[in-house]
Amino acid sequence: MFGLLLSVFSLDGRPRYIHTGWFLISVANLVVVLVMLALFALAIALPFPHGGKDE
Amino acid sequence: MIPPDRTPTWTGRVRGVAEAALPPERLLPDTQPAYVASWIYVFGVLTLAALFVVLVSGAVIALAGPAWWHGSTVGHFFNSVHLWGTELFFAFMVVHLWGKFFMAAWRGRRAMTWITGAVAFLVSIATAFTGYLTQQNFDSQWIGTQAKDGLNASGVGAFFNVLNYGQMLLWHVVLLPFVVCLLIGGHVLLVRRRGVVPPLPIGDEKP
Repeated sequence: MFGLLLSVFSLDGRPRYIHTGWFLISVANLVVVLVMLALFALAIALPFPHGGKDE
Repeated sequence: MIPPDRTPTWTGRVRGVAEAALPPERLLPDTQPAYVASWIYVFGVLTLAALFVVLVSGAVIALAGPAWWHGSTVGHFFNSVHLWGTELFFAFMVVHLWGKFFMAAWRGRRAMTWITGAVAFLVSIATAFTGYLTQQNFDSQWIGTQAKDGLNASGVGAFFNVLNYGQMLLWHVVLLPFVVCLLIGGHVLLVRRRGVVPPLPIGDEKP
């Protein structure tokens, strides 16, 4: 399992890129951007514990 | 105590202005409006927490010098804490920025709050950039040589030379962190003064 994760997220080898026309991004950076977008969506969608009381 | 409007000293007048702008119950409130109970409002303080980790780990690295991490496992650990603290600082700050942008957080006389936050973001990028230049490895040499032409073409090369290691180190550990902390401190005080921005109104309500 650890070896699989390492092969996906290894930072020691040559970086992999997605390149289409003018668009160029490393897979590592793309993963970070997607995680941040997911975090943003979750922060809006998930209920906050003990929330809702007007103080 | 002499009332601030009657005091002959500048310190008394400053105290009067500060107390009028930020009374203690506003500076350190113990309650917040109900709309603050949302995860999207958490990212500002997460950014501050990450900044604290970055400053402390940076101070530890400064004790032994920037090359420490190349030959020491402890130094490598603190260098990694400094790097990942910075990564989290930027990730939290950008999510905070997205949340405030789509909330139009400059509403209600909060323009300066928005501006100080945006400028703090830009100065933070410059601070991180000088950090990459002071790694003392091939990566920092590559970044420096790639950046010099663009920066020199813009005219800043006269006083900001990316190939001057000593200059970049001092910008990274003294000048830019000072400006970042000043801007973020002002930003937090403005949030206290104007209050946390409410969500956008629904339908015909006016903001």
